[in-house]
Amino acid sequence: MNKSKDAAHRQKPPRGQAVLSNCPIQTFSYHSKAAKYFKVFGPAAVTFTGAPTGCTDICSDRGVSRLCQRKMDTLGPVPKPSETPIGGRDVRAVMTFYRDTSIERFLGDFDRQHLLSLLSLPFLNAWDLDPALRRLYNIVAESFTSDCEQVYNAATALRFAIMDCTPYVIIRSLYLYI
Amino acid sequence: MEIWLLWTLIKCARLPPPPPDLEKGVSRQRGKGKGIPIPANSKSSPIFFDRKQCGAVVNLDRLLHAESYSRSEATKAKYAVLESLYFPHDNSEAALRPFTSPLIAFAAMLCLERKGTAIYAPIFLFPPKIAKLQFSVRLTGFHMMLVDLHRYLGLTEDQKKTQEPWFE
Repeated sequence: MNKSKDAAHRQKPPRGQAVLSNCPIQTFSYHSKAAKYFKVFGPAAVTFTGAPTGCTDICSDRGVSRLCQRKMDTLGPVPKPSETPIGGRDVRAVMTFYRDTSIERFLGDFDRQHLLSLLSLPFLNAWDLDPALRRLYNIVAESFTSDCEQVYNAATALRFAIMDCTPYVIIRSLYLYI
Repeated sequence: MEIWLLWTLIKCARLPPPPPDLEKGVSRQRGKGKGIPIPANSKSSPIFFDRKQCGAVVNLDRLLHAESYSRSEATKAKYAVLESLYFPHDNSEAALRPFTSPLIAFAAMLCLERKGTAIYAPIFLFPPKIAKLQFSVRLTGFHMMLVDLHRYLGLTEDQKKTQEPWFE
């Protein structure tokens, strides 16, 4: 009985075939409170059988396998099936991820180079910088600094209620977030 | 990040508006035999503005390009843009179709890889960008609260610096 379970556990899905059924996609919505804005398409069971390599995009198999590897590195080595408490199955093999392809569909409606040109930001110290952008940089830097100063001086309870951060984070943000 | 966001919004506001069918979410139905098929690779604006957001962005663009430039006016316009963006009057449309929110659309655009052959950036690089956006949202909210509080207490400019009972 155990032998058959071990054999079934070791059996890998056909290479490249189990991409959609076992593909755990973790989008950025997982990392933010904006998750409520994103539709998800139900949980998908993760199997640590390895995924075929592919390009490095957010929905690629390589990205998925790297996510799984990080989870495994955090949780430690997977025990043998006979040592696991739930019917020979490792509970960590059914961690829930969500597949969200809405970003791909949204971005697919537009020309990629067009989107990249919209995202491009000139080097802010360039001598031929657009004067409007230089003005924008000045007002954003000034207002951002003054806002951070006000938050820094605010009462602790207020600071944690609104900003949810320590003064150190605010000081660091002056260098990083602007 | 705020500069990046604002400059992208200004550039998008100059573009022709997105197709109305795309705005209605018809592209979601593409391939299922429903709705009107949207041609891919559109070069229109990927960001949908409501009336207030569009007005605020256009006003900021106008003030930044004005010959008689006023920094205080431009700063107010910048706050108006961020407030209309982060705290829209009506969020029901964005709840139904997330990418009609300019902030969500901008965040989605950040997923694109700008160098190399890969289409999307690695997901591990994305949380720091979200954290910066979140910090900006909180900072703008704090500023809004502070302005309202000053108005409620009727403080003058000098009093604002000295009489702030909720400060330590």
